[in-house]
Amino acid sequence: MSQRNQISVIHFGLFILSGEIGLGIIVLPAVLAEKVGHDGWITVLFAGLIGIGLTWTVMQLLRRYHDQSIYEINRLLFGKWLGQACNYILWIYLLGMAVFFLRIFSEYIQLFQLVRIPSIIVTILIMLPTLFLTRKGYWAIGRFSYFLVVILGAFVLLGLKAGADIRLSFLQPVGSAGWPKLLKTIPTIFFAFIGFELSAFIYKDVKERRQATFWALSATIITLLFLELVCLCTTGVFGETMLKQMVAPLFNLSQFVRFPFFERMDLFFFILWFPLLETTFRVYFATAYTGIYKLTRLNDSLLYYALFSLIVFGLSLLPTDLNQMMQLGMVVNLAGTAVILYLVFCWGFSLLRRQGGTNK
Amino acid sequence: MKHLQRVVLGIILISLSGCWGQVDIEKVGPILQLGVEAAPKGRIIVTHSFPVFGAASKKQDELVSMQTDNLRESREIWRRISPQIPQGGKVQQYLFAADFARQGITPWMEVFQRDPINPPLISVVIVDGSPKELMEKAANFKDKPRTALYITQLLDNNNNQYAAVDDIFRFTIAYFAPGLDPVAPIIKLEPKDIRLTGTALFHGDRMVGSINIDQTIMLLALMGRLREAEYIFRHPAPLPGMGPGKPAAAARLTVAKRKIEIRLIHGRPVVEVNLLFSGVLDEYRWDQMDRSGAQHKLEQSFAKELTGLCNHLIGRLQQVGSDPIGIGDRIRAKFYRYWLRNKPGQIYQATQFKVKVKMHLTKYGAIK
Repeated sequence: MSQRNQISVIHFGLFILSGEIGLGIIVLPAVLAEKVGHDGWITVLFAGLIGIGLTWTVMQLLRRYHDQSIYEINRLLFGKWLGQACNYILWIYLLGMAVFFLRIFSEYIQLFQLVRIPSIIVTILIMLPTLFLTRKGYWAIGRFSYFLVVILGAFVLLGLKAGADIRLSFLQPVGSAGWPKLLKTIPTIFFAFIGFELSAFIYKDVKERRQATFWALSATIITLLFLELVCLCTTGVFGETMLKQMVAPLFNLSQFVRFPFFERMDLFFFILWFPLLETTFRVYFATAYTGIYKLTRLNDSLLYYALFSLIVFGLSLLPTDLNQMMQLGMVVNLAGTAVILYLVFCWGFSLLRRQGGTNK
Repeated sequence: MKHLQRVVLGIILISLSGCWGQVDIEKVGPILQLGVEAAPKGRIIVTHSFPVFGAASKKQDELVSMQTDNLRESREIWRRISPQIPQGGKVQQYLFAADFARQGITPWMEVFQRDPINPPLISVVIVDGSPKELMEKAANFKDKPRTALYITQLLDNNNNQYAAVDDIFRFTIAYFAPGLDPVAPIIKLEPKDIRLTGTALFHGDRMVGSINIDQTIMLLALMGRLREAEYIFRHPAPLPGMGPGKPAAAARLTVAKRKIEIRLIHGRPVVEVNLLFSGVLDEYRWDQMDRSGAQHKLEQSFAKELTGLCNHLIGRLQQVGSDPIGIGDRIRAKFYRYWLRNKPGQIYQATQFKVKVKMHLTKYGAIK
């Protein structure tokens, strides 16, 4: 299994990008319109810059312990018992994220396309490719993540096509929400950049780690650019008042844009969302699963894998509706931010303790 | 070969992902048109049109009308009497009676955005009269295609030329945007055909007035949407040496330059509209057009007529309180504090317009 989990540094970048790109592109513009009106893109810019800074910081921590993942670093920094306790909390976080993303994406897919298919079946459909790829290891997930580039490319084309319908006045006056409000909103939308913390869990499995910082930063920068594109296009096309009414503005954008010859081009974009949404679930699922035998003395086996998959599946069915999922989303945002801040704390703590390794 | 297998497998996997929800095409009754008008006690009369499959009758479409409280109710009632399952995924037009549109129509559009299976690209059309009557009588036109197709072609052929066609998405965007109002084309039932008669003006989602086709051309120019239109000039300048001829001239117009500048002068918005039309003279009289001054004189007379039309249109828009050009939206973007201090309706009414329209004839055809 360890051999199959060895990934190249490009796959590492795609892995992080997969974790970051998922939820933000779906709900972010509507959340921003609700909070800061048409100035959402400014908040995204600030949150993105903070995200880039935090990505760099996390990578600095990992570079100090260049052969270790956060599981080993915790033990080195806080001792065997406390370190292991932190590891279990982090693992629960990964499990929670996998469960959350599985359910929220099945909700969206059911809402927008597979309307008549029971929720359980949609969830199984989403899980199937992930179960296959995770079993094959990070290597297979990394290879499959190239598909993400194609999907993002298609959405960039969608944004460019929508560009002709953007009303610049819908984005003006710039900064009317007020700087205090814009800055205050950053923590509430930081979930859009959550995903780069995965680097701390899989760093040990990356080959050619010298370039890992570059690829991790590239992933966060691409996420920032993509979110900016989505925010500017949806706000410029729909206007802030209508944007507030929407559940998933990027989905609506594909319904809005007209293409020659194809009457329902939105359906093609809906199909592209399946793998896009699933990649975010997949990376958390795979990281949580590999975490089991990294944290315990258990070996990778089909039985444990089946049990773990059933637990994720079962937990994902617990929330009763989309509103509950949205509330859970706020918890996820807080948890993700807390984990990132914890990693930053670890970096600061490691500087004080001067223990465990040096930058390489 | 292996790569090809993977590609084929990938395509199959993607395209089969929705099998569970598939509906046999033979069982589906795709709704092509929807008509809505007022019924007593706050109810609505909904008329659906569907293509007929496999019936002995030669009729192309089946029409069903009923009184209901909302659109879904009408669909479900029809489901109980129809051999097919009504589906809204192919609706082409949403026809509203003009009288009904005066009460506000966005509540009746919400269902199309709530259910993503429905196409929000359905055209919003106002009927001068009853949509039910139009759909029933147009179904009997012998020399026209089926009504939904006929109106689709009529609107497509005239869109951004003589009609401002907006779909539900664009209509609701303009409805929600402060300082911007939607528009919709108006059609009317004639004895042997359906006629495009102008554009319905809205304030919010309530129809507050209408303009004719000439004014629609100018409105499209001001909105930056005019693609090309043949304009009939009723008062062309008589050129020296020309005898009496036809009362009108025709030119094919495009907008070469459009500039709308807004200033705040003494607490009142002043909008300077500069339009430069570029045109090709299509019909006038024999001779003269190559002589010096003749073209200039004709251009001036055309510009004067267009200026009058533009002023009249803006006066009409202000009178009914409809702002499809988005003047209010521009004021909000540029003078935000002023916008916040005043009511949008009052701002628009208080706005002073200064219109300058120029005309440049680039060609006069193959004769002088």
